[in-house]
Amino acid sequence: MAEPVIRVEGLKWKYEGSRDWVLRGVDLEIHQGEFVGIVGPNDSGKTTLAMSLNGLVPNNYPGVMEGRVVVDGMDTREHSVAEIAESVGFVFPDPESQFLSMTVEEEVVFALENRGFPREEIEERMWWALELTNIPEDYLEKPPYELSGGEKQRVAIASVLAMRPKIIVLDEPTSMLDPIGKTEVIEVLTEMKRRYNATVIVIEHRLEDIAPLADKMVLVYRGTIPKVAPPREFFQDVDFLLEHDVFPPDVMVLVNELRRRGLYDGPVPMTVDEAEGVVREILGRR
Amino acid sequence: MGEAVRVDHISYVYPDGTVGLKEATLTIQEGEFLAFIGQNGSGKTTLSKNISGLLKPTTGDVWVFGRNTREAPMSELATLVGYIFQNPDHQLFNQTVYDEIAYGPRNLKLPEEEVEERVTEAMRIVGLDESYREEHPFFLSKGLRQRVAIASILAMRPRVIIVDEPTTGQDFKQSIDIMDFLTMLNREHGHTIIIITHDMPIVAKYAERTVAMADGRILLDGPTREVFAQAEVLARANIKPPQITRLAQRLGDLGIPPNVLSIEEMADLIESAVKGGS
Amino acid sequence: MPTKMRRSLLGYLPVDSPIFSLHPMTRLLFLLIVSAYPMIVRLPELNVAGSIFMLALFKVSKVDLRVIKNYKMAFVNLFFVIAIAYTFFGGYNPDYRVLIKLGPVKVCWENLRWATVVYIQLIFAILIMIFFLSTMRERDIVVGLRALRVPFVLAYMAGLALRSIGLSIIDFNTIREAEKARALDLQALPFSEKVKKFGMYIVPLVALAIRRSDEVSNALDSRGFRFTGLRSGRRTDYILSKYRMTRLDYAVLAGMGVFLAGIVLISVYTDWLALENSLLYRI
Repeated sequence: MAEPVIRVEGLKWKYEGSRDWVLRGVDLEIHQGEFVGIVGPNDSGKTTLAMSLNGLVPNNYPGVMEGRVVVDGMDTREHSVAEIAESVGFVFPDPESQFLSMTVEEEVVFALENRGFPREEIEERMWWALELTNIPEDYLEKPPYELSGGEKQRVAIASVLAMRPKIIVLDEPTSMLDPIGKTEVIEVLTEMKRRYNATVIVIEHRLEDIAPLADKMVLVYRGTIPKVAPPREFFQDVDFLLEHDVFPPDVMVLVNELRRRGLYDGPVPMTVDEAEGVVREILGRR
Repeated sequence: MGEAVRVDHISYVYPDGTVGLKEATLTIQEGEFLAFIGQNGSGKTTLSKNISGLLKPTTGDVWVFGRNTREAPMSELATLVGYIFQNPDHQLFNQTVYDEIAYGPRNLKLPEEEVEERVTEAMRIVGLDESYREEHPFFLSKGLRQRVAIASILAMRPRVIIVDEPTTGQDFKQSIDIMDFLTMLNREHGHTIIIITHDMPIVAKYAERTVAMADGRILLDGPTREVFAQAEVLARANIKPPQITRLAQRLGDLGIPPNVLSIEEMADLIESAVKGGS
Repeated sequence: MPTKMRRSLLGYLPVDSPIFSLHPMTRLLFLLIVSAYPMIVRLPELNVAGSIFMLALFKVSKVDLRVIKNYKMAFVNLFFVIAIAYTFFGGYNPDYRVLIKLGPVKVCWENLRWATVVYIQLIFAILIMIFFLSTMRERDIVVGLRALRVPFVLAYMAGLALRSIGLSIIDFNTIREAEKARALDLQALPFSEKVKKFGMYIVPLVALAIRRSDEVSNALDSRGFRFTGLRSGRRTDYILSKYRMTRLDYAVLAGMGVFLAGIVLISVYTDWLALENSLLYRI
């Protein structure tokens, strides 16, 4: 297998002033083009792990770090966040907290201007990013603050996508959104997977939406990674996830319960569609 | 149990001309546990703020425990309906946790001994350790700040408590903790609870009654089970019932009812269908 | 909404407002040049004419005149503040014409006249400022400053500062609502208490501002923004390049400049603009 695009080795991190390690020895390898879902309870270190992938940790936060993180050949301790930003795009949970300008157009081209791309290329990349995130042209002069939650986060994603980074890290991109907004963002993620061969890393509580998209699921729990597996394998042991404060989608828990009651012995379904099939199979046997 | 809130054909227009509510009517009995659901801009927050007296209806009237919100002073309304904002940072303006929680009772001009008693009680209920009393709220973690915000409302002992998005940004376990806490307030202390939320599984698990809103109107109002069964009406308001309910709604031809709310219930239905059929 | 609106610093402006056909730099210079008029000219007649001209500009630019109506009371109060200030501290001279005697205080025509002159000057200046704020967007300010070769970092900071004022106003309103929810009856409070309450708002406002500035600095880094001093190096001015100075811009700039130069010359070499020429001074 080719060299991984992200390699985390024995990563430990402690914020200045806190007693405990937030990350207590994390190892992780991610390959180019993989779509990775990271799950786990709050305060388990997910956000810290995400921020260590683009160098915000350790560069922008005071603290103690052990081990190393190499992203696209760059050791995060030896490169600035702005340098790493050429390879890694980062989307924050609260769309409003990451807006840097007062019109959508400025927002989407901001990073491209920073990189000093020629005018024509900026224009071309801007249209490409807007199209992928389904943002209409007449939004260009609108303040991003006045859009709906889902639109806001799509603009935030577009302004990261415009850089065409090799790697995109999204930290709970839907957690502040209403259900329509969540669906819009998940649709954009689906488009990204389909049309843009980047490495996508998403931290997400809504497993229902992320399970069918991911190539690989990562469980973060109390500063460690107790499980990494493709989704079908990852979700088979529902009880293991529940013990780690992760609540898999309803239909998985249901089928797990049916297995416990001896009504079924096949694999756990990933989607409502598959679950419908399972229930029909069970009831069809009578 | 008497009537807690009566919303009588109210409309609300914001100063910039946006219509927030159109002809909303609703009665809430004391001791109920309700959820207001709907997309952003559907009017659920506007309705809640009208109930709490933070906004006064443009037309129509709101009565809380027999008092018209237009006439009752805020100092009285705040003891009837407490409103907990989503972002704790907007509601913490004192230098210590103690002063923060004492702020409401002091505005009510209560004697200092009673203020002290209420602060102690509120801190105990939300599970804030006494050692936090002299801490500056700004330096606490987000979870603790949220608790201080809740305690500062509880200290006024409002009979109705409205909570805006209690589970947003919380994980599964934290959400359960918060909702169990609100259930405790409802069952053991007799508070009427209204949650404003997008979290449908939480609504299914905790709310007895659900009010679904769209475009400033009340679309559906009834027991949660009945509201979630109306898949088509909800779809028009862009509301998606919990995954387990959606699964049930696809299996109508197999005799599964469309109003299933929990995994346990669904498993029981399937089990009895298998056993009954064999 | 029937016509599409664009958010300005102080409200909304229809997309088809003619003001948008001017380059942001022209509009920025408008503020700088036109505000010089009321500073140079004291003659109330000219300042009244200037104010009327501004009102006409509001109309032409399709600014909602309600913006000004919101400041109605402020305009009235301002006059009283100035009139009272000059009555008390304007001094007294035996030739002054005393209008009324209120105990030891002599209300003199000379002082009131001076107050009126200053007031009208201020009104003109305030109208210019309101016009500027209600027609400019943050984007226009950044582009305008960039066109004037102001380093990007400074132009961006200026925009950011303006935005943070806007966000703080929104925060402020939410905080006041949260206070109401905690049984605070603002109307029932004596004035001194009200002032104290305003002090309290500082805590959450600063808290929110600190959290926000942390977030912005993280976001700036994550988008590859490098603070390399005032020279922006290889940064592309994409947004700026979308604007072109037109003949209209040059005409407006030239007009404003010539007018300003004229006024400066007239006030230096003639006494046409002297206050003694005002009707107020012939009464």
